[in-house]
Amino acid sequence: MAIPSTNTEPTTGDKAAAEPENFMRAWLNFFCLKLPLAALTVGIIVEVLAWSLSGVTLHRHNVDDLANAVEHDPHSYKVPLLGDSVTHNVTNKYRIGAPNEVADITTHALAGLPGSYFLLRRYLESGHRPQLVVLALSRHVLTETMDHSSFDYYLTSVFREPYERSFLQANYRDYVNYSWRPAALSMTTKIGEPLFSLLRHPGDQIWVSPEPPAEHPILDQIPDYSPDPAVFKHIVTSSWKMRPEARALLEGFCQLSHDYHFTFRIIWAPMNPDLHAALVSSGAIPHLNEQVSSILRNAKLDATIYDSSDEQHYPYFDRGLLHIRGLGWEQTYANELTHYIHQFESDSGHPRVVDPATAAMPVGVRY
Amino acid sequence: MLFTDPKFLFAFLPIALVLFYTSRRFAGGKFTIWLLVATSSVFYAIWSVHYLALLIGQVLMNFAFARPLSKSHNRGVMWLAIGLNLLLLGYFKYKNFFLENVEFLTGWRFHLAAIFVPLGISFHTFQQITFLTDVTDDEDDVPPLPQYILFVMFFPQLIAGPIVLHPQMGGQLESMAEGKHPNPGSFGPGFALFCLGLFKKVCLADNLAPFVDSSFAWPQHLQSAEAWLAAIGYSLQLFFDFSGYSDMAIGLGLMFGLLLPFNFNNPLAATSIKEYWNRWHITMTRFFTMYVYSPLALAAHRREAEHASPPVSSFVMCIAIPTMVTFLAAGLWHGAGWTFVIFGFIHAVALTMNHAWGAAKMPKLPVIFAWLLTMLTMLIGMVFFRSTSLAQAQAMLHSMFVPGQLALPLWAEGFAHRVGLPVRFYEVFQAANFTAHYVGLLLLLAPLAVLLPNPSVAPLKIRSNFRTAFALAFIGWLTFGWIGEPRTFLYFQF
Repeated sequence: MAIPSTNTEPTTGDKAAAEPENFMRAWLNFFCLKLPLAALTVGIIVEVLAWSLSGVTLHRHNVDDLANAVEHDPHSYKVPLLGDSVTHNVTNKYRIGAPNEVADITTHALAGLPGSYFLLRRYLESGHRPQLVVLALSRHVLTETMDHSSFDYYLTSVFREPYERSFLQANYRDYVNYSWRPAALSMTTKIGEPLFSLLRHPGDQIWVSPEPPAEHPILDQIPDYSPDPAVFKHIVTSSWKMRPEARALLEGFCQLSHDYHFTFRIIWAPMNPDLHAALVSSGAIPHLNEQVSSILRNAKLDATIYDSSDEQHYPYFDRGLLHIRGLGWEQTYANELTHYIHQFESDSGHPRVVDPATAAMPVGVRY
Repeated sequence: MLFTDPKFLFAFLPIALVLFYTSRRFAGGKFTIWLLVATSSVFYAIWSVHYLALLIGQVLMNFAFARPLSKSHNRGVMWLAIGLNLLLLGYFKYKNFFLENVEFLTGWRFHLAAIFVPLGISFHTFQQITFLTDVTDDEDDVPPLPQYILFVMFFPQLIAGPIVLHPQMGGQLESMAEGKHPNPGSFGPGFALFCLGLFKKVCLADNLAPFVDSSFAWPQHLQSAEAWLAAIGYSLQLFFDFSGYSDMAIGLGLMFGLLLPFNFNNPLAATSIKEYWNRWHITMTRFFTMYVYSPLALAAHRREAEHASPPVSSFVMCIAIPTMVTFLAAGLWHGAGWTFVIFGFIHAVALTMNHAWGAAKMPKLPVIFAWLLTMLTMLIGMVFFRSTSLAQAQAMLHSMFVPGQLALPLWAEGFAHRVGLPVRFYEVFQAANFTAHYVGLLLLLAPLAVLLPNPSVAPLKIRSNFRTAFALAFIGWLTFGWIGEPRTFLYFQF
């Protein structure tokens, strides 16, 4: 080890030592003239650049891609499928329904219910007329607050139509800020992301996985699997009350159903059986079901909610106990979704109605 | 209060500067010194009033020891004073760690309540120990009380260094007390350096945090590529974070007319571990060199010279053992945990090998190979430094060094099929845009870490030209755009 020789004595600039007066005057000139001029120049250049890029359609992530595709896709899908990442992870790999039957408009919790609502509305307003709209999501999308840090990235900066802005402003007041700020303070958003979007231009169509799930998939077994007790406890003890903004959005879906004459259905995505049982016995699931059902009933819609965990046992989930683990199990869920949609279309069977009273039976006992 | 906190930037700092320059112009040097003491006290009190009292108590205790020590040079009294300082440090920082290990070894059980560690205690305790030692050895004079308090408590360097030696500050404080300007015109360069530091922290280091945090949260599930990039990402994050903090501290010092020593000098360009430690956290290295390594090595040299030992024995006694002791102490200084001890051990072994290579007159390695070897050692050390437990570090190293079959992430499935590679679930790089963002950031920051100019070495040479103005304007816009979600400086925990 050696002592850095350059650091034992403070270093004084030659200029400072020789001409302190000139040195200070030069810095005074710097602060009064050069720095403000440079800041103004950089600010104006960035503002002009941002203005010239303001018309660029953003393609930073799948929500951007979908927001554009739902307006331009020429296909006439019978069923737009909306949902969070539990469903998206599956539909991203496996096609639901027959080719050109189901439009995969699933996203994730960071875009949340507002993302699904705006995507559907854009889809409808661009002339598409589906028969059935399915919202396949996890319950926590209705009960948890949205992530503040990614709200702008996945919602505010994506959905900028006047009605979208006013909806967000009315229901997510703490999340949005539409006041003007210099583009130089948002160089990443105003310059970097549009440039990135110009480089990466996906098609104008809704991407649908070409691969259907196997009819009888091999169901993976994960011998060392055990849910994290801390995560389990955290989920069970979390608040399961529906957020007011989620209520407003569900009412919005119902209104769209009336305005555009389609049938609206909700599917609860698969849940860990023990967790499901715990939440049923604590009353959280029946209460939430009742709240959702009452919104549907008030809108004079069929208050049926299909719970995929009631029909099929899904044993393996990721560490957050949210996303299905195992390709075979994912295909099972894909088949379940297809089956549900076909059942509805053919009207040969009736989707199971979740009655809050009967849902109190622990799901685990059936397996 | 963090330097990146808007309350600091737009309220505390402007008020402190206005008071400082008004006082210097109208109230004289001595009052200005007291004003800076008061400003620094407020800065610390905003964090904790109780611990401000503790800090002032510690400062007064050391000052009380220093005066008689400067006359008597009594080493017994010096060791008593150092012991009291270390006792204080030990109680707050190492008590629980020590008792946990006693529990582990003996099976006894203690009631271990959480201890709130005073901010920057390692920094200002070491700074005061150097002062006591220098005063005893007659290498320094005892300044008046307000200047001594300011030497310890000057807020830019109070909580995370640089660790300043009194001779580096004493003259400047004396000059300030006499109403002179120790570094005329230093405000401009200080402002420029502060902005550069803020930019490094807010725009470069903080942007890497989500990737590094999510990687280190589940190291056992990472693919090899993810683990390597996480280790590299953390090294870059720590470098930009801590060097950014040091730049801000030096910049702030200059804005108040005081020049603090620099702490970093392009460490990631080092081609040997010896060089790395001459470039990384320089003031800490200097402290351990002067006050731990050198006395041990000197004593060993004397002993070996008396006994005319063979070269290998001499090397072990004079270099290897002092290096090991120094780096184990340096590791523990960073934190009370075995991960920090291992961090110190790795660097001690590497540095000893570095010295042995030189002592054996082995041929110099090709520069690129030497650099890669240095960075590999640094990365392994960083894994322990970042990990919260040995198990976490072990899992990360396992993911790094025991790669599974080469496979691509699920989102690259199409490409994987074309090139005939399997796909696999990637824990961190699950999404294409996240992967592109962070790999792009790492590719940008890695060369920046080596190529970015380092004006903190000679800040008064920063020129007040249009080039500086445009550079500052650009990073200023970028930085203020990013400010809003401040994180803690990584080095505060030490």
